[in-house]
Amino acid sequence: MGKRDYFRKGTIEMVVLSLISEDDLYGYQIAQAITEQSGGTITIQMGSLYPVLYKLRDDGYISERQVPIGNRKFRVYYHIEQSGKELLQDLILEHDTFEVGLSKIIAPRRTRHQEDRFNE
Amino acid sequence: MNDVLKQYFQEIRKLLLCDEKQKNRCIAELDADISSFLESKPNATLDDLYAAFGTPQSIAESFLERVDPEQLSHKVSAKRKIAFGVIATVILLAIALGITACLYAEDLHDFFSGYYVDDIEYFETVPSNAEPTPSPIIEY
Repeated sequence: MGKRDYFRKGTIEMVVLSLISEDDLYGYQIAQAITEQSGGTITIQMGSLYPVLYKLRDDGYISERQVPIGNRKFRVYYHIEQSGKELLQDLILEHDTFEVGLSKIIAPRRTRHQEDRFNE
Repeated sequence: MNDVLKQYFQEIRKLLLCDEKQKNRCIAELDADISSFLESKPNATLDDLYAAFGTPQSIAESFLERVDPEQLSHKVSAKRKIAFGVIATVILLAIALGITACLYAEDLHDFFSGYYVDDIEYFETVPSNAEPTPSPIIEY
């Protein structure tokens, strides 16, 4: 995701669950939605997305249904389960708590960091 | 583009480090997703495909970062066991061939040096001054 993959564990899971909580989506749709809704600031490689989806499915947070699209191909739509909705709430809470803690560290030093960047 | 896609999936299959079931699943799903991408961009080039989905190497790398470490260690452990088994079999075969070659080499050396070893059957010999055993007379 993005140029540098400096995301906390659980961030991609939170984003994926958030998207499919509104509607069932397939892999490429999820990746497209992440790029479009973040204004292009966040992109995710399909190679990163699939293991996340498989793990969520294996743990029962999401389920899947296969829709044939002709020529022996099938599209896999993912659907959030009740346990997935609960996990999403937990992840959002964790994320918000983390953001508050992070901003307490960065905020007092933000001006100096911005000046350093300006002087480079 | 079909040949290009075929090669693309073959490369990914070679590079993905996960169990066969998950590999097949990943590639089938990628195939369907790429079909969706090509429906929206029928004139897409290989570069467009790489930009949207990644090169086979980047797909395999990003997959590796997210796969369950326990599953990965099982896969690596299984590969190591197979490699060890193959190497051990080759070594044992080499030793067996070596021993067989040594045994035959000795016989061949003797043969080419003029010695010929054959099995000799010993028969029980009858002394010449012994009386002949009378043959039975059948009376009708």
